[in-house]
Amino acid sequence: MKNRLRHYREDRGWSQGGLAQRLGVSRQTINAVETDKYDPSLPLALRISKLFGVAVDMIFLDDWQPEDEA
Amino acid sequence: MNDVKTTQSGVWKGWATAAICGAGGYLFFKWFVLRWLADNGVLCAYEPMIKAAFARDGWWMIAGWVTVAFFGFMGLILTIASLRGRWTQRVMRMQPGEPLDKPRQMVRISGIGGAAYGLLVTLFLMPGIDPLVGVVVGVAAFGLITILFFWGLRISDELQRAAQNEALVWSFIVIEAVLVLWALLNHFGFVGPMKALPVVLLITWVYLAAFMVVASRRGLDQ
Repeated sequence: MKNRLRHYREDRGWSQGGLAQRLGVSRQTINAVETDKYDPSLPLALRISKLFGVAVDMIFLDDWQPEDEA
Repeated sequence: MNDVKTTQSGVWKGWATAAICGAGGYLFFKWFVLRWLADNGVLCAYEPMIKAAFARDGWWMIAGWVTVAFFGFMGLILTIASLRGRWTQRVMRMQPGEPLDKPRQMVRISGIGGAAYGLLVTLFLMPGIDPLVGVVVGVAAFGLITILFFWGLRISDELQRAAQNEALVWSFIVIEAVLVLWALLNHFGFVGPMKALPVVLLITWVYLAAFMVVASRRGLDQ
């Protein structure tokens, strides 16, 4: 899943380690999320959205659309 | 910008290189140095035991000793690395300023757990060992590994847990396929029954290989 985590992090001037510390995870986790190697759990995604003060779907981008009901 | 550059070469590559060198060194010691000492009468009292061990060694026994050397050496390296922050940073390829507490605990747990596992596998390689000693050592090592496993789960973060779970699933599929194939071949009389040592080694190496692949794919090593 694509995401804009790096954009939001850099906007705040935080390092990956700094963000990891704020979220209580390892730097590898932040790096893996930013490079699309790992989709975070729902609790972590919610923590990220709370930390940056934006909705989850502003950070994590998904192309899926519901089919129109007949 | 306050970005962190990621390292391309992985943590596991460093561990694997150290462990393979350790295994090579250990096998060299066992097959050449120990044999030479026994042949030249330096280890007179142990000569029959050492010669019996050489006579018994098949491919699975060699694989077993490689496993013991791998885990023993890796355990030693990691335990030593956990003693000083700078060494932990190097082993875990951490950036300056990153908190050390959890990685340090994780390295120590992995080190002690690896060494205990090496001890456990050693018991499979020594059929002549006193059963009472074997049971006591085995239960103690198994108990230690179990405690460290749950301790590790408590302090690991979600990427590590996800990688462990994914590796478990993949290795389960591979191990099950091998066991079913073996059972089928055994049923029709092509191979003999599987013994404890091959099963233990199969599970160990398949899981280790699966974890290394998953860790690399998920960026756990960067």
